[in-house]
Amino acid sequence: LTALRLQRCEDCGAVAWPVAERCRACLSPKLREARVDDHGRVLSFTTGHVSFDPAFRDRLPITIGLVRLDIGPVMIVFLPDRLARIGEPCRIRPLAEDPSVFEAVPPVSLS
Amino acid sequence: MPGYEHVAVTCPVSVPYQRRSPHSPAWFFGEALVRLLAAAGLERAEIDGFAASSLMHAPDTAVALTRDLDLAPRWLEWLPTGGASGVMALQRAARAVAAGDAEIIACIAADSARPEDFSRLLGNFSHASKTAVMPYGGLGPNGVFAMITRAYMERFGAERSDFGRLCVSQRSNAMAYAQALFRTPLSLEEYLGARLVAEPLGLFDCVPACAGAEAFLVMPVARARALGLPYARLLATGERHNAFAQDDIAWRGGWALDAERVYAEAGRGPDDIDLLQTYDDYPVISFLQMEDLGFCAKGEAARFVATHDLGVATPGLVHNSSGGQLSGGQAGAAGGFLGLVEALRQLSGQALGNPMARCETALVSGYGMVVYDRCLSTALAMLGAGR
Repeated sequence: LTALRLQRCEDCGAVAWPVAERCRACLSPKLREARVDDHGRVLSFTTGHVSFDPAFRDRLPITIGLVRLDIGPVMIVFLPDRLARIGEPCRIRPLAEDPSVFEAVPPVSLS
Repeated sequence: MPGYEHVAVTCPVSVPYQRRSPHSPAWFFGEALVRLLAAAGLERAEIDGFAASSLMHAPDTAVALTRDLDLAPRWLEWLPTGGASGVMALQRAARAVAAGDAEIIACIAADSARPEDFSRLLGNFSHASKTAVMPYGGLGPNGVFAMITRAYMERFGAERSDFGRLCVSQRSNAMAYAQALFRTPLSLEEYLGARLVAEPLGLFDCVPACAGAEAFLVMPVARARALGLPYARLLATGERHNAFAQDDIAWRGGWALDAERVYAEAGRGPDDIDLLQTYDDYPVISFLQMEDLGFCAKGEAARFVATHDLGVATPGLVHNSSGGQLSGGQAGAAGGFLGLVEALRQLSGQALGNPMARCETALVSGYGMVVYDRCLSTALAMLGAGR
């Protein structure tokens, strides 16, 4: 599984998402990208049938989820339909084609 | 006491909404100002305070509008707070008039609906939305509020038909309000059968975007009386930003922190309220307001809506008397003024449709700015009829 890398505060250890220039927890400016634990659970999800971005219009419907990582942040991610259930455990990984965008995968992944 | 006793809120103005318009927000600000001056019988030079709210006027602010409208105010406020901006403008203007910092303040929210406006707004709404929301299918606020709605349904056992009842009730109010975009009857079956936008949200859960403006004047009561203007009074108000940041997902809002104090300052509570104007960008958000403002317990809004006819036609509490944004349309930041401007009309006997048999006390609440996974700003105001 590709490693999840997010900003971690060198002073207090809090993990930041969305990308920030200062830690929300302790206001330190020392945020550095680091490998972080990628486990979380699904807080909610939706299947969208209308997109405001023309790039997605031929890919609809698209399912996204709101995931709370065990290490703190809440992330919006692409969600496979088999994980579309509130409370479902998952892991988060970057997309191969764009590592600044993330998707949820089952907690035990053989790939 | 809040200290607004000698402040009048007057001249509610709604510039009719249009689904498409070639005009800029500045055009709509100007149209609102023309109508305010006509309603008050004032000259432009007598406006010495100006509060403005817009989402699509960027990169300009209220400063550029003073030149566009040739105003020379001694008090100026810019409210980049969308759905919370109406109550926030009122609070600031009332304080300024009470303190003597300005005498006559025009509060105006306006937005446009040129072909490029809406996609540009969503693409640049916030840094977080650009990098952490829109790359996920470009669903915009519909996606975020669909997830908030689903979590609410799971947590409290609500169903789509519960939200549908609210939309149907508001549509029945809108049918008598000539400026509403949607005025045809809506049945629960039509609501449930409408095409899905972002599950569980369907077409009638989403506000129709449009162009338009909403506005009002704030001035001393003595001046309003001298001008012969019907008016309402601000009794108490509150605002809150980034409340309950630790909550996984929005199932309550900042109103829950402020309602009790506002009721105490107003000397009136939920039982005294004739008209409740919630910010209805999505029905679940109106549910949160009904709960957090004390009209029912947390999680009980579905039952509250099912057991109370909130329409203008029946006695008792009225909710969103002109149909709200869900039927009326959302003209950007003017959506944050719509509920307040309609409340001012009802409180001062100037309803354009649906005059209430009795409207002595109104509660207006606002909700604005979906920076990331929820809106951050909430506001509420208790208003009373003038006299």
